Amino acid sequence: MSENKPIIRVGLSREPVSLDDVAARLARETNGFGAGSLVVFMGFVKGVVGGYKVYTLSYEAYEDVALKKMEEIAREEAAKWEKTYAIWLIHRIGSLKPGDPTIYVFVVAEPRHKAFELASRILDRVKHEVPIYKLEAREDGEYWILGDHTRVRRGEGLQEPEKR
Amino acid sequence: MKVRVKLVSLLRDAVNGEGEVVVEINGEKARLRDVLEKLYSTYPRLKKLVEGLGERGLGVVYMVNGQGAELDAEVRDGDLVAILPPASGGCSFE
Repeated sequence: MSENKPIIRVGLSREPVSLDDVAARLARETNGFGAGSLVVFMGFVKGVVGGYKVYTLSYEAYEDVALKKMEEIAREEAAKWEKTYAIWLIHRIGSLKPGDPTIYVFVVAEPRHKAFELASRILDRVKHEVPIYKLEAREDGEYWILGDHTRVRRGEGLQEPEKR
Repeated sequence: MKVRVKLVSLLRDAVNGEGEVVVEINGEKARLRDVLEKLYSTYPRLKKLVEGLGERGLGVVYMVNGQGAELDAEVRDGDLVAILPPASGGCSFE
C-alpha cells in the first residue's frame, strides 16, 4: 500500500460534476505521495440508439446498497495495486438528456497504464454489480434496460424483450 | 407483523407504480418465501414478471435489510425486503 491509505470516495448525484474541480483536488491531495497520473472516465447519454432518437435516460438506484457496493468495489480494486492513490466514483441519478454525463470514474495510480486498467475494471464492475436501473425514453417508446442491454418495452410485459 | 418490500424499475410498474409496498403476515417472524408468497398473491402480475425474467436469464436477487438473502432467510417485523432485477449494464449482486 502507498504511504497513506488511498482516498476512496463514492457518490450518487442529481447534478453534473466539474471534471476540472475533482481532478484538480485529487492532484493536490495525491501529488505529495509520488502520484502523477490521473485517469478520468465519463459516460454520457447517447442521442441515438438502434436508429431511434433518445429523449431521456432516467436512472434510479437502490441507494443505500448502491453506495455500499460502489465503495466496496473501489476498496477492493485499490487493494489490488499498492500504488493506487485515489478512486472517486460518482453515478448520476434522475432524468438525463442526451449528452448529459452519467458516470464518472477518477483513478490516481502509478504507473499510468495501471491507472487506465483500474478505471476500466472499476467501470465494468460498477455497471454489473451496483443496483442502478435505466429507463430509456425514445421516439419509438419507453424501455426498461436490464442486464447486458436487454430492453423491455414499458407496459408490454416480457413477451418480446428487445436486445440492442 | 409488517414487512416493507422495495421495488425498482419494471417491477415497480407491476405494483401500480408503488416503490414500496407493505406485506402483513401473521406471527412475529416468517421466511422470505412466505413474504413473497403473500406479495405475489396480491400482485400476480409481479409474480409473472419475476418468473419471466428468470426464464430469460435475468433472475432477480432478494435482499433483506440490504443484505443478499435466500428464500429461507428469516424476516421479522419492520424488515425491509428488496427485489432487484439485474442492474442496467450487468447481471449480478452479492
